[in-house]
Amino acid sequence: MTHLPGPIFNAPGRATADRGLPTPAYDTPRPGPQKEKRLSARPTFFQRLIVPGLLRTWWSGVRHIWQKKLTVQWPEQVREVSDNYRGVHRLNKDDRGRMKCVACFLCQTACPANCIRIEAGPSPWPDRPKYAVRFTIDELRCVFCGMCEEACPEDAIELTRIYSLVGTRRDEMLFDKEQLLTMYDLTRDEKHPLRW
Amino acid sequence: MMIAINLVKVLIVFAFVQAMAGLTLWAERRLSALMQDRWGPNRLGPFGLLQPLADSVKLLLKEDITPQGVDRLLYYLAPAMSLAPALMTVAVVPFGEPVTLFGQYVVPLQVADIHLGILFILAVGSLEIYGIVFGAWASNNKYSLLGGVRSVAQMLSYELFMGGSLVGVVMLTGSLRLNDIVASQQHLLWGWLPAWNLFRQPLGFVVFLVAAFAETNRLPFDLPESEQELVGGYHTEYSSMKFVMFFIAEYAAVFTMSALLATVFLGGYGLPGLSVAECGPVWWLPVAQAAVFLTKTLLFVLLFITVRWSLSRLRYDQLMRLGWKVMLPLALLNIVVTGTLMFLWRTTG
Amino acid sequence: MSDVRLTIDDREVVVPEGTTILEAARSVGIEIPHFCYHPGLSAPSNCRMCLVEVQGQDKLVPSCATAVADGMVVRTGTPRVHESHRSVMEFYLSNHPLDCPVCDQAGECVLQDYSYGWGSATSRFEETKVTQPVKDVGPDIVLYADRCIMCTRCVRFLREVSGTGELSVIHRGVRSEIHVAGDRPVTNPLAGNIVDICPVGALCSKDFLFKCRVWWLTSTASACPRCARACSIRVDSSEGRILRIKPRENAAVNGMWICDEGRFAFRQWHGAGRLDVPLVNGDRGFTHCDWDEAIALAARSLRQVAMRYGGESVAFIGSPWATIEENMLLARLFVSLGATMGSLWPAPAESPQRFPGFEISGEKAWNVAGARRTLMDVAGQLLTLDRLADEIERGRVRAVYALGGAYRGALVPCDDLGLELLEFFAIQTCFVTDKGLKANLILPGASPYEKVGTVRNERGVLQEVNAVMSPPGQARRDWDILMALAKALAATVDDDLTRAVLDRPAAQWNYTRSASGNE
Ligand code: SF4
Ligand code: SF4
Ligand code: SF4
Ligand code: FES
Repeated sequence: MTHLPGPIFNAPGRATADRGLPTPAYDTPRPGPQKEKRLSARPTFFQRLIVPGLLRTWWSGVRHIWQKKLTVQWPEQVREVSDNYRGVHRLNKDDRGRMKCVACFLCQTACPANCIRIEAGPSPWPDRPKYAVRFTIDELRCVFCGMCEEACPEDAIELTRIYSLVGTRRDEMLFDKEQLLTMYDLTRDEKHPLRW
Repeated sequence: MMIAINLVKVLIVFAFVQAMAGLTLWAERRLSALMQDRWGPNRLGPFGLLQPLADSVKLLLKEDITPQGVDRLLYYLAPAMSLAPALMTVAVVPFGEPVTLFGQYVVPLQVADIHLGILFILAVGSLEIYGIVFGAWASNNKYSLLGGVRSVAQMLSYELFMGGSLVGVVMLTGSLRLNDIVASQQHLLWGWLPAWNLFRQPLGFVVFLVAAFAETNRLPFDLPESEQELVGGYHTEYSSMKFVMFFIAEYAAVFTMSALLATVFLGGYGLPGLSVAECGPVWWLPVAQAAVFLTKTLLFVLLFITVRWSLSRLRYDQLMRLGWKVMLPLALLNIVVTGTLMFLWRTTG
Repeated sequence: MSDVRLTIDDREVVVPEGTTILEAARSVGIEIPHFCYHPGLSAPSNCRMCLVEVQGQDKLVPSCATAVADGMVVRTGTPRVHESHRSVMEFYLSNHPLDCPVCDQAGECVLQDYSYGWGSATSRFEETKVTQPVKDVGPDIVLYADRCIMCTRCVRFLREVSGTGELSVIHRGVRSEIHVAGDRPVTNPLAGNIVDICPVGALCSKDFLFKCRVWWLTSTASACPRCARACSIRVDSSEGRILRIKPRENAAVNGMWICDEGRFAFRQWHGAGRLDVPLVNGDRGFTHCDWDEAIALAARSLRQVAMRYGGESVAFIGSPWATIEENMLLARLFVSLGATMGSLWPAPAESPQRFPGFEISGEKAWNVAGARRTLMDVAGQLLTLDRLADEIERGRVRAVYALGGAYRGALVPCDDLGLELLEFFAIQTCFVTDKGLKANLILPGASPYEKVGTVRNERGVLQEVNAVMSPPGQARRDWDILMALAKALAATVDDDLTRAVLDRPAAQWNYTRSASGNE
C-alpha cells in the first residue's frame, strides 16, 4: 500500500474540526495517551487468528442489548418537541370568532408543496369584501415548512405544535376549513414560545 | 399402542419445532432490535410474543404470486423440500432418557432411535440444499439462480469438513448413535469438568460450529440470500405461504442445528447428577432433562442470532478460502490429534 | 407633418411633429410612469405621475400632454423627477386602502408596481382615510370606489369610444368620486373595456371577481370567434378553464378594444350542454358509440354512396366557425372522393353596431371570409344552401358531410335542406342541442378556444388561433376528426393532402392583407 499523504488520512476527525463543526462522537479521541496506529498491508499474527477479532465484533453488538434504547414508546411516552416545532395548521379566528383569513391566496402561492387549495367568495361580513368559502390543506403533501405562515398578511394561518397527525384514509388528511378552525379552538390557549 | 405413542411423539416433536421456529423468529426480531438500540416488536401479547402469529396471518393473507415463466413443479415443490429436512433431522435427536409408560411400554424420548444417527443427520441435512436449488432454478430469475449456485458451492465445501469435524466425536464414543454420544458425556473429567465434547473436542467444536452457520445459510455465510446483492436470492420470487415455508425452514434449521450442537457437544439432555442411574425413575426427571436440553439448545439459538446481527457477510472468495484452506485442514488435524491422543491414552493406560 | 428631433435621456429621438414626450419616449422603449394617459384616449393630464424634466424649463412638465419640439432635451430619471414621483405616490397612497390581499387587481396593478418604485413603507398621513362605498355600476361591473385614483380613464372611454357617457366625476378634491346615475347603469356593449383600462382594482368584472389570482393565469393569444371582425384577444385560463378574455392591441383588427359579447363568449362553451361523445342515429334514436365505430360508419356510408351513385352525389358543407385549414382539408378530402358540390353554412346575420371608436360586425362568425375563399379555391364553385337543397331534392346529392361547430342558440340552418331525402348525413358539432338534427352521425368537435389554426376576418387579415385547452370528454379537434376520416377512407388523400394543407401555412396562400397583431 502506498503511503497516503495529507492530514485526513492519519488524523481522523481533523476535517470536521477544521471547519469549526462539532466533532462527531465517533471521531472523538479516547482520553489517555494516543498511540499512532498504522494501517499495514500485512496483518499481525494476532489479527490472522481471526477468532479474537470475531469475538470482539460479536461483543460490540451484543453489549448494546442492555444499553439505553432510543425508541420513543408513543403513545405512552410523548416526545418533547422543540419550541419552534411546526405541526398541524390552524386557521385563526378574530375576537368575534370569525375566521381571519381574507382569501388572498398568498399562502397558496407561497406553498412549495402545492397543498393549499382555497376557493374565495364574497364575504358575509361588511368589513371585508372577500373570504375563503373553502379552505383545504392536504396534510399529506405538506412539508411543514411554515411558508404559509410567513406569507399570510392577516396572521390567519399558523402551524401548531400538534404532531400526532394520523388518519386511515387519504381523504381524511385533507383538512377542510372547519377542521382547521377547530385546530384553533384546540390550541387557543397554548403558547408557542418562539412564534406566538 | 406403541404405534399410537410414536405418532403422538412425532406430532409433539414436529409441532414443537415449528413453535420454536416461531419463537426463534420473535427472538431474532427482539434481539436484533435490542442490539440496534431499539425495542423491536413489543406490542402484541406479552413482550410481543404473539408477533410471529400476526406475521403469519399477514403473510397468509398476501397474494400468492406465481411469476411468469417459472418451472411450476419445482417452483411449488421447493418450499416444502427446504422445510422437510429441517424437521426430519430433529427426529433422531434425544431429549431425555427413555421413560416407562403405564408400567409396560419403554418409550425413548426421541422420535427415532437409529444406529446411524450422525450419518442420518449429515445425509438429511445435505438434502436441504435441494429446496434452495430448485427454488432458485424454478424462479426464472437471475438473482435467484445466482443464489442457488452459490448455495451449492457453499454446501459442497462445508459439508465436507462438517462430517470431518464429527469424526473425532465418533472416535471417542465408538458409536454413531446419538443416545450413545449423549451417554458418553455424562461423567466428570478430573472430578469437576463435565465430560462434554466441547471440552474434549474444542477444535472439532469450532469447526462444526462454523459449518453449522454455513449449513443454515446464516450470517456470516448467508451468501445464497444476500439481500443487498441478490435481493433475497433463492426466495426472491416467492410470496405468501410459500415464502412462509422458506422462512420457517430457516428458523427450524437454526433450531435443529442448535439442538444437534447441544446434543453432540454439550452433553445433550444430561447434566452431571441428573440421570435415572443417580436419581431413580422419578416422575420429574424426563421433564428436567427436557428442560436442560432446551436450555442448551436455546443458548445456541441466541448465539446464532447475535452473530447474525454483529458480523458481516464474507466475500465469496473468502468463503471458499476459509472452507478449503482453513477448516478442512483443521478438521483433518483434529482427527489426527484425536487419534494420536487416544492411542497414547490406551497404550499408556 | 415634418419630423422633430429631440433628446430623451441622452438618446436621439426622431418623431413626427405633434407627438407627446411620453409617446416619443415609448417609441424608443423608455417607460415614463403614468396613470391617466391611455394610448386610445385623450389625455387630461390630471394624475401628475408622468412629470419629467425639460432643459430650460423651471417646472417639471407633464409628458403626456407636452408636444415635442425640435432640440428639446428631456430627462426622465433625474433626482428631481424621482422626488416628484415619490411625492405623487405619497398623495395617492395616503388615501388608498391596504386592500391588495383582497383586491383582484393585485399582481397586475399599476399603483402596486409604482409603489415598489416610489412608494414609502411608512405613512405620514395622520387623518382618517376617506372611505367610499362599493358601487354596482352595471350588470357586469362593480366599482370599489375606495381604490379609485381618479384617473378618469373610464369616464373618458365611455365618452370617447362607446359614446354613451354613463359615468362622471362628482365632488371635488379628496372627496371626488366616480358617479353612476341610478337609472343609467353601464350597460353598453363595450362596457367591459373600462375594467381593462382601470389601472387599479377599482373597476372589477363581476364575472372574474375572486375567481383566481392573476399570477396563476395562463395567457393564450387567439382571435375572438364571435363575429367576422375576429378581434385579437388574450385568453386567460387556469387549470383548463377559461376565466377571462381581454383584448390584444392590434391596429389592423380591433385597435385596443373588444365588445362584451366576445368577452363573455367563452361561457357558452363551458360546462353542461357540450357534446362529448360521438352519437349515432339508429333504431332507438341517438346512442353513444366510440370513435372507431363512428369513423368507420362514416367512411363506409360515404364510400357506398360514391360507388352506387358516383362521386358527385356526395356533397360537403364547410363552416365559418371552422378554421381555414379545417375547411381546406374538408374540401380537398371530398373533392378527391369525386365530389363537385360544396356549400357553406351562412353565419347568423345581425345589424352591425357602430360606436364613435369601435364597430361590431353583423356577421356572427369569425372565419366567414376565410372559409368562403378556401372552399371556392379548392372546389371551384360554392353552391348556396338553396341550390344544394334543389340538388338534394332532385336526387343528385345522396350524402352530405358537414362541419358545424355553431354557436349555441344559432344552429346550422338546415331545416329547408331536405335532409330526410339523404341516405347519409354526418356533422361535426359542439352542442347536444344539435341532437334535433336529422343526422345519421353527430361527431363531437372542438370549440373555437380548443382549436389551432388560422382565420381570416372580414377585412382580409389573417390571424393565428391557439388552443387554450383540450376538448371535453371524447370530443376532438375537427382537424383530427377529418384526418381520421381521411385515413379510414384510405382515399387518395394520403400524405399529399395534409402536406398540401400543412406545408403551406395559411399566411402564404395570398389571402393576406396584413400580418396578425402584436400584444
Ligand atoms: S407549511 Fe409549507 S408545505 Fe405546508 S401548507 Fe404551509 S407552505 Fe405549504
Ligand atoms: S395568506 Fe392568510 S389571509 Fe391569505 S389566504 Fe392564506 S390564510 Fe387566508
Ligand atoms: S388597486 Fe392596486 S394598490 Fe390598490 S388595493 Fe388593489 S392591488 Fe392594491
Ligand atoms: S399620465 Fe400624464 S398626468 Fe396622468
